[in-house]
Amino acid sequence: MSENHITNLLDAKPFSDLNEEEISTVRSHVITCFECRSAYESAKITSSLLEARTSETVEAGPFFKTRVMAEIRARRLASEEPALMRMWKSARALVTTMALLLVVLAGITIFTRATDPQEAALVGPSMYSPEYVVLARGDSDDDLTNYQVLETIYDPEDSDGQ
Amino acid sequence: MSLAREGNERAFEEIVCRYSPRVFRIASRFFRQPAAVEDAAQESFLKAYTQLSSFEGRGSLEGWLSRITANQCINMLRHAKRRPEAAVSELTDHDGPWLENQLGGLSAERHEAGQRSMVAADIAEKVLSELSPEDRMVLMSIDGERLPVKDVAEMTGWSESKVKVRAFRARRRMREAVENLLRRTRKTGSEEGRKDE
Repeated sequence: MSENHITNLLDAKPFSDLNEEEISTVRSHVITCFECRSAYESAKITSSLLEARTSETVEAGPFFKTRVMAEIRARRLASEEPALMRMWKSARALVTTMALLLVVLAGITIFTRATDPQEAALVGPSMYSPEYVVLARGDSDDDLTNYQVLETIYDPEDSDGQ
Repeated sequence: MSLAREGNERAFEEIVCRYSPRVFRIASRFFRQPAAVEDAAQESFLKAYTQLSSFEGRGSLEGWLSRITANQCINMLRHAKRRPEAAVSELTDHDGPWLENQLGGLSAERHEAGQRSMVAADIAEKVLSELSPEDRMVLMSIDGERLPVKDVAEMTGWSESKVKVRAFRARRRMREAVENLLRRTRKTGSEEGRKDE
């Protein structure tokens, strides 16, 4: 039975290329064969769909040629550039951002240290320095004046150990 | 041609001007969006520019360019198929009535010609997107554009008998896809009719 079906005939060539004899064969068959009738209807619709889709064509825009030639030049330039330069070009933004971030962080660190009073106090004379021991500590029972103390400490004649 | 092969840009510009319509027509069989068609055409010309030295001049330049374009479009479509935009299951409100009208032969009275054609092209695109890029190209070329099998064979690099076999199978697949679509449309229509009652 299957050899009498007309589906092979429908699929063998474009629907619109079927000649009159083939169409009459198809029509007489689909009267009794429900399966082939459905195939015949689908083939007709398929033909209309393809016709509609083919009628839609996009045309080249006025700047298409310019666009193609610009792309050709850009690709040629890209291939001529040394590899290091290409790497730098792609990493430039990242490196710049990181450098800027570093500068900003350093600035913030310096600024906060300078404005913090506790930090500033720490930056002053060390608690182990002679100045601190003599001048800052108020518990010295020595009667020497500050000037005499400093003179004693920094006496140039005494600096060689004599 | 020899100037273009030596890297003369002016000569290649001339090639772009002369063969753009052909390249765009081929790309239009694969893509519908103007931007996609233009991208495919541009990539085809860029590929042609880089491969100019391999063109031996045995066939026509037009045939060579057509083959590059077809291959380029097939590759792009394969890539795009991984991210499908629309499927047959996603029919719009207009698609069902269009199919019904086609069956009833009432489309001419009910719809404006332009709109009718656009809806048909929409459905065609959805059905075609279910086929492989090669099947699509063969169908669009032979059944849609009425190109001779010989031209399609030249464009694809296949033998004529392979093109015929491919066209036969593609036609069957598309017909079956439309058949399924019709079945679904009728089913939906009868369900809605029952709801109305």
